[in-house]
Amino acid sequence: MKLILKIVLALLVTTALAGLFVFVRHTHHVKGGTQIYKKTKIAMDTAITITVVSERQEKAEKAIDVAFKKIDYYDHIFSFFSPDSEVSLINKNAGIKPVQVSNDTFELVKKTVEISELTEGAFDPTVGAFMVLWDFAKAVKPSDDELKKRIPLVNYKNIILNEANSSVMLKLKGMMLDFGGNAKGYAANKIAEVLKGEGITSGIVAIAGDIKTFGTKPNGSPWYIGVRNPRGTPSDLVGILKLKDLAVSTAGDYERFFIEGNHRYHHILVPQTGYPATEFQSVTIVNSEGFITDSLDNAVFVMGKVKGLEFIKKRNFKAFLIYSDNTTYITDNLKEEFERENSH
Amino acid sequence: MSGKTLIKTLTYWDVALFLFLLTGSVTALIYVSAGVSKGAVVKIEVNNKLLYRYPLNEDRRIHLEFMDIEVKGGRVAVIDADCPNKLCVKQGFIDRGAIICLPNRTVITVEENGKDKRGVVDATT
Amino acid sequence: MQQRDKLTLAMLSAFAVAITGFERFIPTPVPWLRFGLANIIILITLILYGFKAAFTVSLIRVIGGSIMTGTFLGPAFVLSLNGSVLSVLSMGALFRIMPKIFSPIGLSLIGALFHNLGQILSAYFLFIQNFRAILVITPIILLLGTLTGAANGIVTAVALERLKKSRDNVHNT
Repeated sequence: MKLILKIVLALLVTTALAGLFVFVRHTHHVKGGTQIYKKTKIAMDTAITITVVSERQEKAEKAIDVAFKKIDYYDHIFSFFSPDSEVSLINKNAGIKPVQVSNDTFELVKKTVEISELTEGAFDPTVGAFMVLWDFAKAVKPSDDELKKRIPLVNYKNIILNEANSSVMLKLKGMMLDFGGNAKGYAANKIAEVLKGEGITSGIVAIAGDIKTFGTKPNGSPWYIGVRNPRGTPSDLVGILKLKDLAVSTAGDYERFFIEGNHRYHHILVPQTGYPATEFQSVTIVNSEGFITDSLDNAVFVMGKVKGLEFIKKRNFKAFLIYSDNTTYITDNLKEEFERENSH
Repeated sequence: MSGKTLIKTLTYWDVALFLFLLTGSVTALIYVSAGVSKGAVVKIEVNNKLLYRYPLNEDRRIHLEFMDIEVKGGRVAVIDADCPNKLCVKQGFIDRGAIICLPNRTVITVEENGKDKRGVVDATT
Repeated sequence: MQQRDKLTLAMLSAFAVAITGFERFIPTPVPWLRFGLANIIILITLILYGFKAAFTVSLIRVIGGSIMTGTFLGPAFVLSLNGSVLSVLSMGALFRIMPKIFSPIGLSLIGALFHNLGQILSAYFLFIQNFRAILVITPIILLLGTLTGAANGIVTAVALERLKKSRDNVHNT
């Protein structure tokens, strides 16, 4: 009798052990074998880095390739500069006729108009009419007259959307759509979805300063996203955001600018005047959606100190602001994710 | 002795002890290996003193008096050593954790780039 | 101690040293894997001839083995000494206090555990104050020690059974 008991016990032990080893192998597979894979490419007029966590190199590389193909596609339809993009077609036909566009472009235009309404024109995709007058690389500043003449051409209310045949028309000749202010964040979110579709559960899509994170690092910690010191070198950070599944964008006066007569002229233009907004050095917004962060960092930058803060607080957005006098402000709901660098 | 008599010799306490040790060490193994992630920096310590600190992504050979170390393709290994057991050489290339050579009092650890915050950032906005 | 017992101890010690030397030539797939076969001899000595005998054999094994492998008075010797002493102490204590609770298999497990703990602790305190490095290898060593300890225990149990039978036979004739 005792012998049988012992045999049963021995069997139980063996089974438990076998189960344990399967568990160990499995855990090891997930924890130990996973790695971070990174690839950087130039597209959408900027450097794009895709980071994925995967247990297999081929899987990671394939997912990254698919993602970059999708980026090329977005570049092709949203580009302001390439003459055969859908956005360029809309611009060419401004004041002439509606242009039928892909669902992606239609969605981007539609969502952007909604953001323009939400921000009461602080974000306006028709700012393109001003944009073409400036050249920040060559330090070209348009005259007051030139800008003034174009003020009527910058108004999102003159975008006519037709959902039925997914067409877009700009009411006035000379109007220009420019999604430089939010297409990158929009794309970052979409690319994250593409990667998830390829079986990737965590990673980062970083299109210039517009970053969408999903999942966590292999060791379970959040992704660390640096926030630049607007007056420092690119590697000089004012703080680190620890993000899981969140997107972040920063609009800064240091990205594209020139300095003339002690004045900094940068690419974040006030849609109502055509001149750069002046009250911030940078505005960082954190949200689950890259489209929101990329649109709102510009909008808040344009709104300025008082209106911008009021807007953020009213709608409970997460933001980190650096004012032009070097002082900073962080919303309460972002303090937990933010770690200030010691040097500041 | 047959298997039957062996099972008779075995006491319940034996089984309990075996299970305890096994689950204990396996749990510790899981815990430790989960905490040890792929590193970016290789540190070479001799006699508890840090001699070298190199990034793991640059291939190089390090020649010590008693040991040859190679960094290659993001991993590090002891290629040759003059110790009797050569446990360190047998361990091969690692990209995480540590290689210990006791006779030479040498520890090679692979660590995350912890001290330099900028190196830890995954992206910059 | 009788002359015959001394002879037995000498023989057991010789066995233990020989096994230690022999073990070096067994190729191991994992660098941290040590079979610790000599512990079979120590355990048999402990059970048949008591703690003092086992302690003596263990000491002779460490010294003899290290002279043979050329590690005498080196760091490996110090670790081996500390591990072996702790191991034989733990097995001896367990065998004396509660002899009925564990079979040789349980004793072997305890011996392996304390051998490894002794080695790891002295490695840390005497040679390498790198907590991270020690932490990384400890679970692997303990796991392997548990497996080899169990295997050695089984071999010991079998050997003891055989010895008992042959003794009985001697008495019967």
